[in-house]
Amino acid sequence: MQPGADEIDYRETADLTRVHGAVKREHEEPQAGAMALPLWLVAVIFVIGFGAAFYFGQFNGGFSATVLNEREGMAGGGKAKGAGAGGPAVVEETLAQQGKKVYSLNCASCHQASGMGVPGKYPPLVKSEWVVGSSRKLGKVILKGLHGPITVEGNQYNDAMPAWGASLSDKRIAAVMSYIRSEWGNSASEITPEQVGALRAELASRSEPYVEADLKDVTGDIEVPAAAKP
Amino acid sequence: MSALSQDTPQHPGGTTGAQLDQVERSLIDASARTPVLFFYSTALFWLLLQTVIGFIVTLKIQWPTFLEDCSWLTYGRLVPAQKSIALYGWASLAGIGTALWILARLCRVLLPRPGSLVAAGALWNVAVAIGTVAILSGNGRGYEYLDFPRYVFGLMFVAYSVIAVWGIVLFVNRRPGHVYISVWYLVGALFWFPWLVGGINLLINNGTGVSQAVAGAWFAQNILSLWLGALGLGVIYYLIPKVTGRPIHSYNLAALGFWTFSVFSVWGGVQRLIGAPVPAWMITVSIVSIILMLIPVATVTVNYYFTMRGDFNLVYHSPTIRFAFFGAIAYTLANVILLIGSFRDIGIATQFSWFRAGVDGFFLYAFFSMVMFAAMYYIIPRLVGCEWLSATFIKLHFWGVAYGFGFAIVMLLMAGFAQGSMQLAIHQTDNTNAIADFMLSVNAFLPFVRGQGLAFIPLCIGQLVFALHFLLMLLRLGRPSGTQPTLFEPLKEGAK
Amino acid sequence: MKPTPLLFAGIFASFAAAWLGLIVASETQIGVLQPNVNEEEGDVYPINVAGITERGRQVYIAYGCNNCHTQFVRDEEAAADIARQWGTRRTEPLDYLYSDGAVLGINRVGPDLSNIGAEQAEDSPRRYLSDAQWHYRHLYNPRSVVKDSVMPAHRFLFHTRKIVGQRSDYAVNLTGADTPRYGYEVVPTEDARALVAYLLSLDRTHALKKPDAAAAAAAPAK
Repeated sequence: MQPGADEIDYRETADLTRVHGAVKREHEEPQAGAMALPLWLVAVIFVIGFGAAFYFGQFNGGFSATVLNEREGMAGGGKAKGAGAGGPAVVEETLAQQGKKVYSLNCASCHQASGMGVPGKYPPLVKSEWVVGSSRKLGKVILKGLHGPITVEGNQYNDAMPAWGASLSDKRIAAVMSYIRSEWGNSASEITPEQVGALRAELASRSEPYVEADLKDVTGDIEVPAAAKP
Repeated sequence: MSALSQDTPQHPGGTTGAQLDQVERSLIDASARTPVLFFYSTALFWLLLQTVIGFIVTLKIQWPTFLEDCSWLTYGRLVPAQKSIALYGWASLAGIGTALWILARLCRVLLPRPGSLVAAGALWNVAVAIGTVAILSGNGRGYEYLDFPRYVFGLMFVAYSVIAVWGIVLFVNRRPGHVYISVWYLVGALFWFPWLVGGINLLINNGTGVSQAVAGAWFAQNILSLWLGALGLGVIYYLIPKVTGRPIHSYNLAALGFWTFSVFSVWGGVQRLIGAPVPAWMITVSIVSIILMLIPVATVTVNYYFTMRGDFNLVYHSPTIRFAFFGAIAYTLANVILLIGSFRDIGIATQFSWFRAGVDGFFLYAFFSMVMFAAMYYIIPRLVGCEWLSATFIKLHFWGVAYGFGFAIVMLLMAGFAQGSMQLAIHQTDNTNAIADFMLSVNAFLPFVRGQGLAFIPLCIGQLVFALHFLLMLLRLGRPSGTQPTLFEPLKEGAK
Repeated sequence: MKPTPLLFAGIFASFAAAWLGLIVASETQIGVLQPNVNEEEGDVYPINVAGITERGRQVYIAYGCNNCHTQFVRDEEAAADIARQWGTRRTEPLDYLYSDGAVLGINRVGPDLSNIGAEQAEDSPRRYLSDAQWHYRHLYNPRSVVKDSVMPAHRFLFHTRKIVGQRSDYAVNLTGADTPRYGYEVVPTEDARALVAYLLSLDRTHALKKPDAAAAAAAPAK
C-alpha cells in the first residue's frame, strides 16, 4: 500500500483530515476472540438435536412418495414397509378415540366440547336417549340431518342439524358415533364403519333431512347384511 | 500476518501503522464510493416504490373497489410485484452494495473497476424494472419471489456474474491472514444466491405439479433465510465489533454458528406446504431443519450478546448499533416464530394464511431491512465524507420503521392465527351454506389485515425522512466530519 | 487459521446436500408420475390440460388468483376442508400431474378451488358453481353474488358493446346497478371465457388407485 499512500499524500493532503474524519476515528477491522463454547450452550444444542431427531423419527413417513399423512406410518398396518427407519410403535387408537377429533372439528361448535349443547337450540348429547338409545336412529340423524323442533329429556330445542353423510366417511361417522356413545358417562355400544356403511346404503335414496316425527318409531341397532360382513 | 492484529506496528518512513491503515481505508472507500452509492440509491428508490405499492394493496384490502378497473393494478398483480421489488430491488441491491464494501474493507483490497460494478448495478435495475412491468402486465409466473419471467432472471444473472467475479477477486487477493467471520457469510451468500435462483429457474419449468410447488416453497423460504440471512448475519458480525471496538466474543461460537447455519438452513421451506399433497417426509425434513436452526440462532445470539456486554448503552447513542441490535433481535425472534408456526399441529392452521406473510415480513423487514439501515448509517458517511445531518431525522426514521414494521408484522401474524384456526372446523349449523361459513374466517382476519394499514403512517414518515436524509448526504450537505459520528445522544467524556 | 478450500468446500457441500436431498429427490419421487389408467372402462385420470383450459390456467396465474385461492384439499383428519365440501377426498400429487405447481396457492383469503368445477348434484345448494354465467357475474362484480366478498372485481375481463343483430350467446346476465345501458351488452373477453372454462374444468374428485393395491397388483404379475 505504500505507493497508494504516496499518491494520496501528494494529492489530497489538505483534505485528508476533513474528508476522512469518520475513517480516522473508527476502530480497527474486527477480529474474533477465542472464548470456548459455554457448557450450558453445548447442553442446549444437544437438547435441540435430540428434539429434532425425535421429531424426525416420528414423522418421516418412511420416506415414501405415497405417504402424505405423517401419522400413517405410525399406526403400523399396511404402511409398515417403510417403518425400518420409523419411530416407536404406537398403539392404534380405538374408534372412540379417533372420534374425539372428528367431534371437535365438526360437532363441538354446536353441541359443545362438553356435549351439553345450547339450551333452546342444540340438544345435549350427554345421557340423551337419542344418543345412547337406538343406534339406527342416531345414524339416520347424523347421515341425513335433522331439522325443526325436537324434545330431548323434556326440553325443547329448535335448530337445524346438517347432513354429515356427504362430507364424512363411514369410518369418521362410526368413530364419532362411538365417541359420543361412550363419552361423558355415556356407555352404549361401539358402532363399526360397516354398520354405518350398511345404513348409508339403505338410506341412499333419501335426500332431505329428517324431522322429529319421522324418527319416532325408529328403534334397535343398525344391522349389517350378511354379505357385507367382513 | 494481518497488520490489524499488531498493536504497535513498526513501519519505516515515520508513519505509524495506524496512519497507514487509515490511508488504506480511505483508498478502499474511495474505490467503493461510486458503485456502493449507486447500489444504495437505487435500492432506496425500490424501497420507496414497494412501500407505495404496499400502501395501495392495503387500500385495496380496505376497499376492494379501489382502483379496480385497471388490470395492471389488480390485487393479484400488485402483491407479487411488491414482493419481487422488495426482494430483488431493495434488499438484494442494498445487500450486495454492503457486502462489496465490507468485503473490500476486510480483504483490504481496492474494489476493482468500479465502473463495471455500476454497469452491472444498472443492468440489475433494468432487470427489476422489466420484471415489474412483466408482472403488472400479466406475465408473472405465479411463484412467490419468482414471479419475474425467466429472461429477467437471465439479465440479472449477467449483472450478478460481474458482481460475483469482483467479489471473488476481492477474496482471492485479500491480505493474507485470518479470514474474518463476516467474510464467510458474505462469500457464502454470494455463492448460494446464483445456485438458488439459477437452479430453481431451470427446475421449476421442468417439474410437474406438486414437485414444482415443493421447489417453489423451498425457494421462497431460502431466498429469505439463506440469501438475506447470510448477508444480514455477515453484516451484523461486522458492525457490532466495529462500533464497539471489541473483538467478537468467540471464534468457536462463530464457526459453530456459521457451519450449522449453512448445513441446516438450506433444508427448510417445504413446511410451507403443510396440509398440501406433499409426501410427509419432505415436510418433516423441513420442520426438523427449522428446529435445528435454533442451534445457529442461539449460537449467534449468544455471541452477539457477549460481544455487546458492557456496551449496551451504545444502543442509546449509536444509530448503527440501534438498528443492528433491532435486526439481530428480530432475526432470533423470526426464527422462533417460524418454528412455532411450523410444527405440524400449528402449521395446519398457520400455513396458507396471513401468518406466512407476517413471518416473511419479519425476515425481510424487521431483520434484513433494519440491518441494511444500520450498515447505511455506518458506511455512507465514509463514502461521501460528511456526517449525517441530524440525529432527529435518524430518530424519526428509526421509530417510524420500528413501529411500522413491528405493527404490520404483529397484525399479520395475528390475522393468520385467527384465519387459520377458523378454517380448521365448521362453525355453522347449516353447512349447506358453505360460503357463509367460509366468510367467518374472512371476517376473523379482516380487522387485523385492515388494521395493518395503519402501519403505513409511521412507515411512510420514517422512510421519507430517511430518503431525504440520504439525498442530503449524496449532495454532501451533511455535517463536516469530526471526531464523533452523528449520535442520538453524545457519548460522555471517557466513554467509548 | 481456516484454510480457504475448506470454506469453499463446506459452502458448496452444505448446499449441494440439501439441493439433492430435498429438491432433486422430490423431482424423482413426485416429479414423474403415471396417470391412472382403467383399461376396462377406458378411463384415464388425470386428463391433460389443453386448449382453452390451458389458456385459462395462464390467465389464472396472470391475474394472480393464486395469491388468495388455493387448489388442494387437506386431509379430513387435519382440517375441515372436506366438511366444507371443497372436495370428497384429500388431493394427492397425481391430481396435479398436468397442473402448474403455482396453482396450489399461498393463502386462503378466498375459498379453495380444487373442485370448483366438480359435478354438483341436481339439488345441491352449490349447484350454481356449475353455471358459467354465475362465474361471469361473480368475476364482473363479486359482491353482486357473494354479499361480503373482498374479492376485487375483474371488469377488465369484459367489454361492453352495442348489440348488433342478436344478443351474444356469451353475454352476461347482469342485474341491478351493473345492468348495461339499453341496447348494450356485456360480453366476456377471450381471457374471461378461458378462465371460466378452466375453473369449470377443475375436478379432483376422481377416485385414485390405492398405491398399495396397485403395487400389490403389479408384483404378482411380474
